[in-house]
Order: sequence, then structure tokens, then C-alpha cells
Amino acid sequence: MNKHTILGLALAGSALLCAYWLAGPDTPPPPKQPAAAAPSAQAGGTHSSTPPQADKASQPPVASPVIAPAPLPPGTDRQVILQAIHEASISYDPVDLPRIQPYLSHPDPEIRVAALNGIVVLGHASGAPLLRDAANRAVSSQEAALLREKADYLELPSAYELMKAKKLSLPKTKPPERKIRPGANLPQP
Amino acid sequence: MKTQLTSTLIALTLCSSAFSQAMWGSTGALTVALTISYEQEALQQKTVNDAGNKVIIDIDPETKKPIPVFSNAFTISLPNADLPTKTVDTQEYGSKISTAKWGNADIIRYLVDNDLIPVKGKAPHIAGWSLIVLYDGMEGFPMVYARHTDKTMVEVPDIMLGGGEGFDVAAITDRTVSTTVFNPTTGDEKTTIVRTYSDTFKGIGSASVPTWVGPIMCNGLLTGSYKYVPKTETLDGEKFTIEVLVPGAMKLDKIVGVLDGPEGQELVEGSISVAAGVVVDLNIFFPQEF
Repeated sequence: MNKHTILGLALAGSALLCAYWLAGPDTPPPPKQPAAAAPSAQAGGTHSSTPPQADKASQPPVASPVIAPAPLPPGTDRQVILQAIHEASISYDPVDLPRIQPYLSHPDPEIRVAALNGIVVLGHASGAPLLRDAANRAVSSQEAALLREKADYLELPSAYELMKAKKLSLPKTKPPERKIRPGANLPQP
Repeated sequence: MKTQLTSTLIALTLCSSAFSQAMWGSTGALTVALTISYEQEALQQKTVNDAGNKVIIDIDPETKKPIPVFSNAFTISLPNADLPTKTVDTQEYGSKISTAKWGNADIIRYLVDNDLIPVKGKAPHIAGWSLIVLYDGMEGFPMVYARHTDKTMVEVPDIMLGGGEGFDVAAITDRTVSTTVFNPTTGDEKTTIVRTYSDTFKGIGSASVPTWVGPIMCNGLLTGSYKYVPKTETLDGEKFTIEVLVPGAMKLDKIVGVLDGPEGQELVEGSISVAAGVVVDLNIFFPQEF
């Protein structure tokens, strides 16, 4: 077997691996153009009360088995994905949640973390069901717990909105004298 | 300290620009996921009817809902055919814990509303802004900026994150390989030293985050990693290697802090995380005005 044959086999193997990766059932779709190029994503960045693209969001999740972390595609691709997640997240518009969602189940753990953080940064309650859905397919119980914790977080009201509506930091009437709590008499460190 | 460092960073950037040298640093996206727990009214406002014998719940004429209050005090007199009349005096207090979120979108809205970052785009003017941490490539000092997609960058001095004086434990790998090549023909000898260093740590960290009543100061469990990566530079045709600090992902978790609100203190919990650093040339990363 001469070196040309070996090189040919190596190239063919690489092509097959690439084709498998591109066509694999768990491969997230390629990222869309950055938010700056998507007029709908930049349409004021307003926070609508109902999840836009609800038809897409309400579709049942694709029942895909979680695959073990696989060798990453070339580093540039990872950076492209991370950049796409970042750009979608800073629209702060739930319209862009579907751009991040596929990466919640990506084989690369760093991309999964980036997708979770992206949805948290976007900060809209519409992201909560997406995180719970991903939690059901998480690779570990720890990751599932984190996804559910952040889903609960997203559903909380915004402190800034409450502050503006004067529903936070409320003027309190003098509270009653509290009874002694368990552990209250421990010496302070 | 931070202002001084900003000036140093800018000065170094300008200096290195003048010599067309890369000024290495790294940047990672910041994710704030804090909750603010506060006490809220748990009772409904009550008064006594004109006859003074029945407690009624007040209704807000605008919302048509009961009015929440922390406390009530009322007295009713119950008629009794057989004297004496029965009088019941009641004082009650009720509070409940409510929780709200304080994340990136809230912080950026606060910064925009208070003219701390420029107004861009359509209301609420937050689209395109992100919070990033920029580390200098030598000591890894983190500084937080609001960065717009048009590359406008504004320092947000109220956000800080780090280990400070806290305690930590670490897993460190430090390896220095020195390779010497001697050419017996020319007598030249060239030594190349490559040092690799990585550190994964876990300990007590602290952070501050801006709010409408001033920065929240909080502590938590800080985990993270960093490494030094050799970068080859060329100056006057001579190649040399410098070490650039590249932070890994960092997270301050299990945060506990206090927000000093105008009407009392609120409890702050949650996490703040920074994505793994991406090495950037600060000459390019900083906008022209710097």
C-alpha cells in the first residue's frame, strides 16, 4: 500500500465522517444570518407578551436520542455557532429563541452551555418551555437540573419592570417583633 | 484601580498600534442570572362597616381587586341582647416572599434608561447590546463593558467579578520545555523555551452588579480555569514568543448578597458566568476612538 493509497483512504474517510456529521439526525440546522441581517429580529427588540412563532414553538419536540459528545467540527464552525447564539441572544426578542433552541442538545458541551446562557441572556419567559424540553433529553441529571432551574428563573417577573411599576422595595409598616428563630442564638463567627 | 487599568489598557493599545504590534487580550460573554427576593403584602385591606359589627374587604376601585397590605387593625362590636356588648379588637400582620429576576436584559435597560450607555435602535433600545468581560493578556484583570453590535464599547464599572482576597483550591499544571539546537557546522546554538501553564480553581469569589439603587455586592462559589498560551510575534524580522493569558469559562454560583433598597434590604441569589475567553487583538477589538 503506497502513500497515495493511504492518503486517498484517509480523504475518503474524512469525507464520510463529514457527510455523516452534516446529515446526522441530531445535527442542529446551520445558524441563520446574524440578527443584524434579519429585519424581524431587529424590529425594535420589543418584548411581546405572547411567544412569536408560536406555531413553531408549540410543535412537539423531535424525539432524537442524545448522542455522546463527538469530535468537534473544525474550530471555526464552533466559533460560528457560538457567534450565532450570541447574536440571537442580544436581540432580547423571543422571535430569536428558535435560532438558539437546536443548540441546547448539541453534542458539544460548550455549545450547549452557550445555548443555555444565550436563552438566559435573552431573558424572555418564552424560553422556559424550551429549556424544560431540553432538560428531558439532557445528557446528565446535573445538566437537566440546571436547565430546569434556569427555566424557573426565566418565568420570574422582571425586577426592573416591578421597580418601575413601584411594586418592588415596598414601604413596609413596622413588622411585628419576631419570635426567636431556630439557631438565632448561635455565636457569630 | 480600574480607571488606572483602563488607561493602561488604552495606552498599551495605542502604543502597540503605533508599532503595528498585536495587543493580545481575551473576551467572554457575561451572563447574569440573579434573583431578588423581597417581602410583599400578604393581607387584604380590611375595614369595618358603618354599623361597626362586620369586617369588610376593601376593593380598589381601579383594579376591582382587594388592596394588598402588610397589616390591619380593626375593632368590631357585636350586638348582644344580653349586655355587655362583645368587642373584638384585632391587629394582624402578614408578609410573603416574592422573587423577581435581574439579568442581562434588565441591566441593559437600566443602563440605557440612565444614559450610562448610548440609546441605539428602537425602544426599548437594548437590542444589539451585550455585556462582555475583557481580560488583559498579561494579568487577566477582568473589566466589564457593554458592547454594541456596531462595536461601540462603554465600560460598566459597577460590574466586577473575581476571586479578590477569597480562598481557593486549585489544580495547576506548569511545564517548561527547553529545546536547544546546536549546529556543529556553524557553531550556532538556538534555545527555544515553551512553557505551558493551566490552572483550574474553586473557591470564594465576589461580584458586584449595578441596580437602580446602586451596586449589589455579593459573594459565592467561584469556579473557573485559565491557561497561558504561547503566541509567536515578529518584531523587526525577529521572531519571539510571548505568553497570552486565556481564561476558561468562569462562574460565580450559589451567590448570596444584599440589595439595599430604599425601603429595606432584599435578598440576592443566583449566578454570574463568563464564557470561555476568546483571544482578540485589542487594537482591532477596541473602537477607533480609543
